[in-house]
Formats: sequence, C-alpha cells, structure tokens
Amino acid sequence: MQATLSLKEKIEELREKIPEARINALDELLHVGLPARKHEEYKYTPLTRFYEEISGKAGKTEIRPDRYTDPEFILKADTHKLYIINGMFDAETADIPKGITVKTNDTPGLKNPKGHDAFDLLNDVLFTSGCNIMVPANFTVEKPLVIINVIDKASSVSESHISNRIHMGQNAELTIIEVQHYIGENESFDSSVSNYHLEKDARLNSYTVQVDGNNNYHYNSHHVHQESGSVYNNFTMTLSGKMLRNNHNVTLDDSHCETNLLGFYFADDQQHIDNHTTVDHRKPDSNSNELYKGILKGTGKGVFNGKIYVRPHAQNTLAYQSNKNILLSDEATVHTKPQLEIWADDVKCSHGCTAGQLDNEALFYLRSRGLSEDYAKAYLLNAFASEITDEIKPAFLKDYLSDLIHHKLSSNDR
Amino acid sequence: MSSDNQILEEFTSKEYEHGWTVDLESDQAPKGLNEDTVRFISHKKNEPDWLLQWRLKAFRHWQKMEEPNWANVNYPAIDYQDIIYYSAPKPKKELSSLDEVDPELLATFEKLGISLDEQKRLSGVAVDAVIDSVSVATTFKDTLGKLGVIFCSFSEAVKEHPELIREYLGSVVPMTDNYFAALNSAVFSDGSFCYIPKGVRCPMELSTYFRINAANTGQFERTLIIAEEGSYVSYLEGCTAPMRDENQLHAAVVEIYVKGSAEVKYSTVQNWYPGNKEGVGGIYNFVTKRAICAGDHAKISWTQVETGSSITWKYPSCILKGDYSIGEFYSVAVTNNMQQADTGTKMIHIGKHTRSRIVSKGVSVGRSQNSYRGQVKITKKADGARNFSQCDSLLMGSQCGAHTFPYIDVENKSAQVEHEATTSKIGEDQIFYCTQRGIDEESAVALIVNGYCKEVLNQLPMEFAVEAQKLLALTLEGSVG
Repeated sequence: MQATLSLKEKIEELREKIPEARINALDELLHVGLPARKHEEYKYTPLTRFYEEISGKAGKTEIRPDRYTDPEFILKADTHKLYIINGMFDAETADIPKGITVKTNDTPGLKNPKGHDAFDLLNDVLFTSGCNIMVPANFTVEKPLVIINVIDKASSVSESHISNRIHMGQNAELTIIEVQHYIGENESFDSSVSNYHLEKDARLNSYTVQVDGNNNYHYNSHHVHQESGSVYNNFTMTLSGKMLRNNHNVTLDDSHCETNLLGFYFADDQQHIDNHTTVDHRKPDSNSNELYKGILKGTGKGVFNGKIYVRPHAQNTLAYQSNKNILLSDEATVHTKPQLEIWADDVKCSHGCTAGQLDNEALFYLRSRGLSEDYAKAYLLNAFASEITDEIKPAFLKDYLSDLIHHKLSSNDR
Repeated sequence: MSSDNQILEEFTSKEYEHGWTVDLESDQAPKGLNEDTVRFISHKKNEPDWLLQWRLKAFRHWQKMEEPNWANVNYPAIDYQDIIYYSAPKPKKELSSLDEVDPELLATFEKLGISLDEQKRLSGVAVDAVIDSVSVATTFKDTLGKLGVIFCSFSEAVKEHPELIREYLGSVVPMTDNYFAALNSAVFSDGSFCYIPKGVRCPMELSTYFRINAANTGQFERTLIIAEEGSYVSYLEGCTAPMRDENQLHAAVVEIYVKGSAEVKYSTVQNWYPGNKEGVGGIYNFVTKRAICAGDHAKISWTQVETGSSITWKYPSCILKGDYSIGEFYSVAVTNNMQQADTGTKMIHIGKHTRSRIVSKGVSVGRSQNSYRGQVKITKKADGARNFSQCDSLLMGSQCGAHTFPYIDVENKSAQVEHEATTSKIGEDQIFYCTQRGIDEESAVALIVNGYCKEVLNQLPMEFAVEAQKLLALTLEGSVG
C-alpha cells in the first residue's frame, strides 16, 4: 500500500523537526499505526482510498481573505464570532464576549497518548492552532459563540488540523456553535479535536454543524470531562462531506452530572458518515440521554457506534441510548452497534435501534387525504428529523437547519 | 436456611472432586498435536481416506490461523500441545449401587427431579441393561427406523452413510471457518448424526440421552443434522444434571442443514463444571453452532439455557438463505461466581421475506461477566426481511458485569430491524412483595428470575423446561444476602 506509506512517510519526516511535546503522540501513532479495516473501531469505515489518494496530496494552501464570506445564516444572527482559517486561529478578527478569555491554543501534548484514536494522535502531532476559551466561575455568556473553522481548498487539495479547548468555571454557562466552512471544490483532509472541561454546576451547550462542503474528509473528536452537577448538551448535525468521522467521548467523572447527546445525519450518494460516541459513567447518580437519527439515500452509508460504560460503584445511573435509521434506497447501508458495558447493579440502562423504511400505513394515510407521494414522503421524513431539530435552542440555527433538511429531503427523486 | 439448602450450599461451594477417573490404558494418542495425531485418530476410527485428507487439510489450515482474542473473556493461554487428543472411550469405574455415590450429588439430582434410573446412569452406577436405557433406546430405534430417520453416532454414520457425511460435512461450518472449528475438524472424536427423510415428522424428541453410545464423546464433538424437505425434528442436547468432565477445553461443532419447508428445533441445556468460587478449573466451552435454511419456508429455532462452564463462548447462528425462511434464537445465560459468558447469535438474511427473532436473557451474579454479542445482517437481496431482537440483562450484586454488543448491518431499504436492550436489577419492591407474602428471599429471587426468563423457558420441550427452572434456582443458590 503505497499511500499508507505516504502518510506514514510524511509523519516520519516530521520526527526530525517536531518539538519535544509532540514526540509522545507521534511515537504512539507509529506504534498503533493508521486504522485499517481490521480495527474494530474502523470496521465499517474504509480508509484505503483516503490514504492512497488524499492524505498524501494534501498540504497547506494560500489563504485569500477576499474569497471568504460568512455562511449566510450566521451573517444575520446576533452572535460572537471566532475564525480559524486553514488551521490558524485569527486573534485579530475575533469577537470575544466581555468577561471571558480566548487565547490561541498552541500547546500540544496529550497527557497520556495511550488508548487514543490514531487520528487524535495525528491531530496532536500536526495541529497548528485553535482557540483556548476560559469562562470564569458564575459567568453566563448571553449570546452564542460561533467558532467558524474555514478550510480554503479553492486552489489546491488542502489540509488543516486544529485543536480547541474550553474550560468552564464553576456554575458558568456558555453556548457554542462550531461551524465547518469549506471554500472551493478541491478535496481536503482536516481534523478538529476539542477538549472541554466542565467544573461543578457548569453548563455547556454545544452545536456541531457539518452542513457544508463536498469532497472533504473530516475527522472530528470531542473529549468532554464533567464534574459534579454539570450539564453538557451536544447536538451534531451532519449533512454534507465525503467522509466524516465524529468521535464524541464524554466522561461523567462525578455525581449528578447530566449529558444529552443528539445527532442527525443525512448521507446521500458517495457520502460516508460515521458517528462514534462513548458515555462513561464513572461515579454514582448521573444521567445520560442519547438519540441519533439518520436518513440514508442513494449510495450513502451511515455508521453508528454508541458505547455506554457504567463503571463499578456508579450506582443509580440512568442511561438511555437510541439510534434510528431510515433507508431510502437499496444501495444505502447502515451499520449500527449500540453497546452497553455495565459493571454496577443498581442502574437503569437501555438502548434501542431501528432500521427500516417509511411506514407504509402512514404513507397511505397521507395519500388517502390527497397528498402526493413525494409530498407525503417528505412530510414523514421531516417529521422524523424534527424530533431532533425541535431541540435546537438558538432560533436562527433551528430555522436554518430545519429549512436545510426540508430542502434536502424534498429535492429530486427518492 | 433449611438443611436441604445447607447441603446444597456446601455442595455448590465445595471444591470439585474427581469422583471418578478414567483409567487410561493403551488406546491413547500421545500428548500433543501434529499430523501424526490426526492420522492416529483417523486410523483408530477406521475412517476412509477422504475423511483423513479432510482432517489433514483442516489441520494444515489451523496451523496457519491465529487464536482469536476479541471475545470479552479472559483465560490463560491454552497449550494445544498439552492436550491428549484421543483416548478410546473406556468404561468409567462403575459403582454397584447409588449408596456409593456422593450424597451431595444425589441431593442435587433430587432437587432437579431426575428419575432414579437416570441418576444411576449419570453417576456411573451400573444399570440393568435389559430393563433400562438400552431397552428404551432399542424401542426408539425401531420406531425411528420404520420412518427412515437415521440417528446414530458420527463414526457409525461415517461407516453406514458415507455419502451423506461426504455431502454435508463442512457444508454449514466450513473447516476453515474459525480457529476452534478448524481444530475440531482436524481432531473431532465423535458426535451425533441425524437425518430426517423428506416429509417425515419425527415423532419424538431426539436426545443424546437415548443414544447410549453417545456417552463420553469427549471434548471435540461433532454434530450434523440434516432435515430433508418438509420434515420436522426437535433435538435436545445436554442435560440439566451437573456434568463433571475432566476435559478443560471443549471445542464442538454443530451443523444443521434445513431444506425447504423443513423445521428443526435445537434445544441445549448446558450445566458443565463452572470452576470453583475463585474461578479455578471449569470447562472452556468454545462451540461453533450454525444452521442454514437452504430452502424456502425453512425454519430453525435455537433455544439454549447456559448455566455451566467457566467460560461460554458461542454464537448459534442462522443463515436464512431460502425465501420466507425463519430463524429464532432464545437464550438464557446465567453466570455466577467467576464465570464468564460471551454468547449470542448471528442472523444472516439472504433470502427474500426472511424473518428472525432474538430473545436473550442474561443473568449475572457474584463476580461474573456476561456478554451478549449478536449480529443481524440484512444483505442487499433480502427484500422484506424482518428482525426483532431483545436482549435483557439482570445484575445481581455489585461486582458482576453485563455487556451488550449488537452489530446491525442493513443493506436493503425494505428491511425492518429493531433492537432493544435493557439492564437492571431485581426491584426491591418485587422482593418485598414476595417476602411480605411469606416467600423467603431466596425463593423470591428464583421466582423473579424464572419469570424474567419465562419467554425463553417456554420454548423448551416440556420435561426440559421443568428441569431448567429448577436448574436456574440452583445456579442462583447463595446469591442473596
């Protein structure tokens, strides 16, 4: 395999020049190797073509600010904005809410690289910058903070690796919206790793918006660490991209934490969307809820793997997980693996998953009332998606995403 | 605790004693595994050359394979060169009457409601061959013979029906399938063979119990069941009584070939030695079981009650190839003390309008680990396939674990697949309700667990079901408090 080598070679070349702090991650990466099909975590996500054709070619591209405009839905919205352009956090244009600190994050160094996803390690080796946000105790940021990750791939195949950090002080509250924004039609490979820490009673609402770009290979990973009484809500919306992998790892490291993970994905022709989540209950009395829904169309492929761990002594845990899929074509595939691992007895955990097509009786009901077949189908699919979109709090985002899904589901043949 | 319970408590908590040992004499292969061992086994069994070649091919393939380690179980590495792969079945040391049998073992039999004759058979007491199982077995053989049903040992079938063996051996579980299946293919000692002719409904439940020469078939057992078009058979494997076997590694293979409109019901109750409280000793039960619904409208139903073995690692699977074929899997897996189980099923939907149903109930007690691992795969051509899976786990005690690993792969839009799983413990309100009505806590737990497993136990043939309920209660003994 020429290509694996090429990415590997690239990495190995780095060994001579990278700073000490990144050596551990690099060594671990070389040790575990790049994921291939036989890796359980990448069983359904074939990366051969990516290694062969994309990763080797990708490089830094020139940044031309004149090419850049905000995605429309953000232009109009009343928010604070931070830009990261091709891997560099733009401190000058950053609109930082009063009362919080935002700095450039350029300190790599996973504390313990062992056990991390290979792409986490790769990010730790390659990332150029990102933002480091600190919200002080008892402080609430009123307006949502939008982090726009711009990947300019207009002139050549481009590459970008960023790493963001958020530290929430005691009882602090913040809403962030992470937006992937691609310019141009070339292929690109980008990774984004976020580390969030929530102190006691902090509340973080995060929205991951992946609705932009074609031909992009995107790796996104979140590591969330929660202390007692904290609440973490995430909403992940994936509608576009060539191949996307989201890893969402939440550790509930104290009592009375709450985690809500919601996700919606729509994969059309040639798209591959892979969501892996891990919710790790380490202490008693915490709750988690998870609901991921997906629609697969054309040759679209969806992968979901949800893990719930309930460690010994994490009694009184309540954990729910659900994954529902609709397949619209015979070429579409879904692989789902909802996984429970439980070592404590006084817990209530359940998971469920479904895969199927639209309910014929529901379709018949609508058609018997005079709706056209296309309209009836779109209507039902929108209803399926709305269980997720209804939970989006910022109105502008909710309207935008609902419209976008509506448009995607109503357009052309099914 | 009543005195009965005390005896049982002592029995279940005491160390395993080799109550009987097989006197190994001449007919024994030397320790270790190489091509000569395979030749030795084949020669001893007077097998035709093609079977020897088949074994050798399997062995050569096995040598190239790596032992799998993905299961959620831990055990020290097995030294495959430290196993005796063949020893001719020798009569066990016979006792002259039940009085000589370990009284605690008898108490267990009593509790399970096993008949006196069967108790003798199981504990190695010489039985009057004329009035006992032999005569029973002969009567059955006559009835079966008239219908054309073949039910015999595997070696007998190799001699008498080589054409059937040759056609179907390895047709469902190829010799290259997995590490343990390849090992079994190379060195299998004996097993059962069952053939149901076209349109015949087997009038009785076929049980290895009736086939007296099936005793002590050893650790590498091979079972092959063929159901011709439109036939029906219910097959029982195992036995609710504690089986004390000195072989640690059991790598059996069960193949079932079901043709159009035929139905096979395969029930297992497994209660092998689980090791002591610290997890020392006990059987490793690494079995490959698979059935294929080759024709349209075929049906296969697996029911298993797993209470024994220190490690259970098996996935009775269904390949639903014929259109409108049906696969079912009902399982109860109970683990206590240091036992580990990684069990479940695979449903491979290939034919159109195929249906499958999975009901798995896990109960973890003590420091045991119980995993459900299952795959539901709907292939591209399986239009209108339907699956429903339910996997529940019950945890008793704060040191045990329950794990669920379902894989759901759907490649056809018209499929409808549902999976649900829950994990919980026995409600204190349920226990309270029972104790308030004068049922002691231990019986209450047994009652609740039986209720929890009822959906599966109902699938067992009548007499098995009664015994299995008692067996569950017995396995849970001492889990309260």
